[in-house]
Amino acid sequence: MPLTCPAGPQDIDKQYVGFATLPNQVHRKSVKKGFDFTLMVAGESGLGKSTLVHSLFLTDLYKDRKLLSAEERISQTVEILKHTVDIEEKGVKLKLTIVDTPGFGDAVNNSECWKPITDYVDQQFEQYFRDESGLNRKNIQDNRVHCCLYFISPFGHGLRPVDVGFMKALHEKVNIVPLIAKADCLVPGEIRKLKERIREEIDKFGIHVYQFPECDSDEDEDFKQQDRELKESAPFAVIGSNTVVEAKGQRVRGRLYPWGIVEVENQAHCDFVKLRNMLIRTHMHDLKDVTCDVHYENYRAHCIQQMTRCAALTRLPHSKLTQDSRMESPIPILPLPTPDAETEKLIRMKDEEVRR
Amino acid sequence: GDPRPSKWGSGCARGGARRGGRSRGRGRGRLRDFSRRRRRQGEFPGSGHIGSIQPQPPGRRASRSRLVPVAARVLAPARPPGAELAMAATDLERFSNAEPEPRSLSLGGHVGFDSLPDQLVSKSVTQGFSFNILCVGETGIGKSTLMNTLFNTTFETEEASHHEECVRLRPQTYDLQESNVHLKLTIVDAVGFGDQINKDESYRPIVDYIDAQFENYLQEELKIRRSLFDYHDTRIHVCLYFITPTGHSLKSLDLVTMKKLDSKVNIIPIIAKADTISKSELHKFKIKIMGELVSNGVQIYQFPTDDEAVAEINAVMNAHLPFAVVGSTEEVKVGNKLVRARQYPWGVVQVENENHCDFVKLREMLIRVNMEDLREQTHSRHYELYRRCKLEEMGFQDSDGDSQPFSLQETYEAKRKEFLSELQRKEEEMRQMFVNKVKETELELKEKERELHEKFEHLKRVHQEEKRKVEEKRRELEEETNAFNRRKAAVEALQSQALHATSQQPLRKDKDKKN
Repeated sequence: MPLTCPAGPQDIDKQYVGFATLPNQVHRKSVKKGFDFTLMVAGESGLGKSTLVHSLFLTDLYKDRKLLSAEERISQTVEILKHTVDIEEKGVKLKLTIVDTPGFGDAVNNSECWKPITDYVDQQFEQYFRDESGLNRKNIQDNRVHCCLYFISPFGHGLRPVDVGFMKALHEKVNIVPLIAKADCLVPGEIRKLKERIREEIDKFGIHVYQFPECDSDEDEDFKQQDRELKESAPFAVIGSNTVVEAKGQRVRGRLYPWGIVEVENQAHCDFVKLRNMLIRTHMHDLKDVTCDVHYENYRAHCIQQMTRCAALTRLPHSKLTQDSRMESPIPILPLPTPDAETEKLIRMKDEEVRR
Repeated sequence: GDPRPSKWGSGCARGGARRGGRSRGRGRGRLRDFSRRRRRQGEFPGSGHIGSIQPQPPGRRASRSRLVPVAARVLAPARPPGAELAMAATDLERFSNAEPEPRSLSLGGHVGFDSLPDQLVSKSVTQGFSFNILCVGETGIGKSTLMNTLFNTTFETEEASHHEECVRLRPQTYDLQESNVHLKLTIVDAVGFGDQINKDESYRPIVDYIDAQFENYLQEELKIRRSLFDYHDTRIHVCLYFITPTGHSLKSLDLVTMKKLDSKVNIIPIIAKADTISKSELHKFKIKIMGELVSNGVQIYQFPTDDEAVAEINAVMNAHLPFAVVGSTEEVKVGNKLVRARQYPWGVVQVENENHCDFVKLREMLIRVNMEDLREQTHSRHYELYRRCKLEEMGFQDSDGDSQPFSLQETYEAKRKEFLSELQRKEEEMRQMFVNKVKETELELKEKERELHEKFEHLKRVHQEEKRKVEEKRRELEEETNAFNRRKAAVEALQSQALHATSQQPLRKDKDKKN
């Protein structure tokens, strides 16, 4: 039970320490610093990825996109494209990076088509690892991928082999949020069935998708209810649109069909709102935290272990840290400039620590 | 008409009382035989046509009956008394070689062979029709649902899994009946298409299946005792290719597969699950797809426009390809009717509403108008192409070096003889080889035998040698023992003598002492 200061007007003045303003201070500082977020979108061509990104962030990132023809795609390789935009809302700045993966699953032979993507994610981790272990850490740029939206085709009966392959290759490296794309081709009964099927298959194949954190027991009922609904509707069935149509006298973002109008922001039509809330309004920071605390740490530990193993194999049988053996130390193998004595001591300490 | 004086003299055969009134146009029942036209080389002097209102060439007399088979006319030419005999011989020759084009005559009354098509129809109806559809598209794209919707029934098909190792074809045959027409419908499903990670070989099982059906038919055709009239035709008449509605363009797999199939089967591309594309997107999508098909030289099935009755509607439909379809077997109440539709929270997509999708167009074209044409095209174009390629592969040709037409039988006989002689040669070879082998083995065995023999001799000699040595030794030993025994006896004798002597000596000594 945390200590509380007793109430009372003069008491308040005398006993009020004032650290209750910390959250405000944090808020101010963070607004000043700005946020960054890297989102990756992956899935076959034609599932509406760019439209969804447009709907989510209400900006058009893909102005001059060139779509390949079928012939060109027969033996297409996967590329990684980054689009970075700075957006601002109520004084809060967000540097948003969208990592696109055109060509994924488009060729006739898609063996290991996720390799360029895993390589990219690993590269970002490695870059951050070096920066973190470097000397000048003032301006580290965090390019690590915080979240990956994976688009599952709604035209099938569940997960396909390429979906399983991709998710298994990346679930230990990045937060995967699976989505059912183009959900306006499924009636509500079919959506339910497909979601169940996908959940089953995710369990069956042992894929670790991003889990929403449990809410604390002292949260209010409303929040808990929302959280429950959120968890039950995963994977989200989304529809995207970059056009505004007129429906019932209002202008809404949607798709116009001869038989009706699909409203993107209508919860009865699709889970777009849930996705947006989750991704941007409530769980963005949690996604970043999980990336830093879980995925990055896993990568780092793995990396260090490997280096230690290599070093242990090639190390001469003496424990004194000489000039030569320093090169084989578990610190990232960079051409380090000759460090001064203090750093050397630090390095030695760390080496001991790791060996222990 | 009255007989006109002809150019060739008064004695010329009359052209027949009907010459003037003969029609040269399309009379009912005119026998046309265009294949003979090729052979006609214009041998009749000054005439381009036969059967027109032009003077008859000499030496021919039209008979009085109305419809005369060409053969009869050729066989019974009357020689006009004053005709140029020089031409007569050549004429005869020409008649036996070339059959002139039949004249068309008009009828004076109703004969009744206009019922021929009806006879044909009633025969086909009793026989029953067979129609084979191949559905190619990714798993879950709606192939089975569309078949159920098209034929207004439920074909029991189980849901396919996404994790099949490779593409396999699953044919299922059903007997349907509507009015008094029996249809033997076979639906072939390409299960597992588009699911594998490596789809390089996805098209192959499909192509193999189509070829196998052609092969079966070809085998039946080439049989000696064949029964084509009740052969169950399993050749694929149409391939419905289901395109995923991405809204961008064809997938690479679609392009590759359609290129492999377009020369073997009639392809009708369809956009499946079309209720996910809005009208404007659909228009762009269709144009993109057709553009890609054309630029890659893929030949899809065009609805025929040569039959006046259906040319117009077919031409219109050709412009709507590929059809954007929605399938459903569920019924929803719209207005006060129950229609087949899909119920969404934002509206109801009606399958048979032309505004919503092209299902009605597909049904019209596929079933109600062009089914027979699809069957015919399969037989006359795709099957013939297959047959030609196959037979050419086997070495058959239509004509040899002298442009004499080869009959299939002759070629077949020649091939058979060749094959048999080949067989014989091979047999000889084998026998020769066998004999050689036997000889070789014999030689080897003889060699071995000889060696063994030698060894045996050698060992025998060695044995003898040893025996001899042992004998010698034994003799030596015997001699030694004998010698030893003799020496022993001698020594013993000596000893006994010595003993005897010594026993006598003391007596002598005593004697001496006494003295």
